[in-house]
Amino acid sequence: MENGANSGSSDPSSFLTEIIGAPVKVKLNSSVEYRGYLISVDGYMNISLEKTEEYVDGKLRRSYGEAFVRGNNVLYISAS
Amino acid sequence: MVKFNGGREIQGTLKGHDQLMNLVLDDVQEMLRDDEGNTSTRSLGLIVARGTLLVLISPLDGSEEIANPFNNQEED
Repeated sequence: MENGANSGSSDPSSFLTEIIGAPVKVKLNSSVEYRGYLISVDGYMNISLEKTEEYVDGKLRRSYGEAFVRGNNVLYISAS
Repeated sequence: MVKFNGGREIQGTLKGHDQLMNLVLDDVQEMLRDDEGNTSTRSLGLIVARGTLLVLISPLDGSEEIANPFNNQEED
């Protein structure tokens, strides 16, 4: 309200904490994409995902029950 | 299982890590894939993996890699 943003996702870290538990897409600099349920994010943008699917060139390459992605590789995190 | 920047992949038992995310893994196998898509492995034993090169870490839960489960349609 005060900063004029729409309710909730007014800053990056509150956006990230709000979408914990939701299905997300995580794109890496290598253009590999991970889709899964967001378990946690930290200040480095290290990310834990559950039920993760790895997409390379838009095609499902592999799946992981749990996955940890090191934050420096992250290009974006998208709630989807 | 650990994936590295640059495309290398290993599997092993995680023995420890530090603040820089360097990892110590034992009984390590490196997964190699050649140009024709053939996969092979080589044994590396006990290693330290440099934290800066890590991309992805995932537990195998004592299981092996399985065929794509999305090809199996549920038939109830």
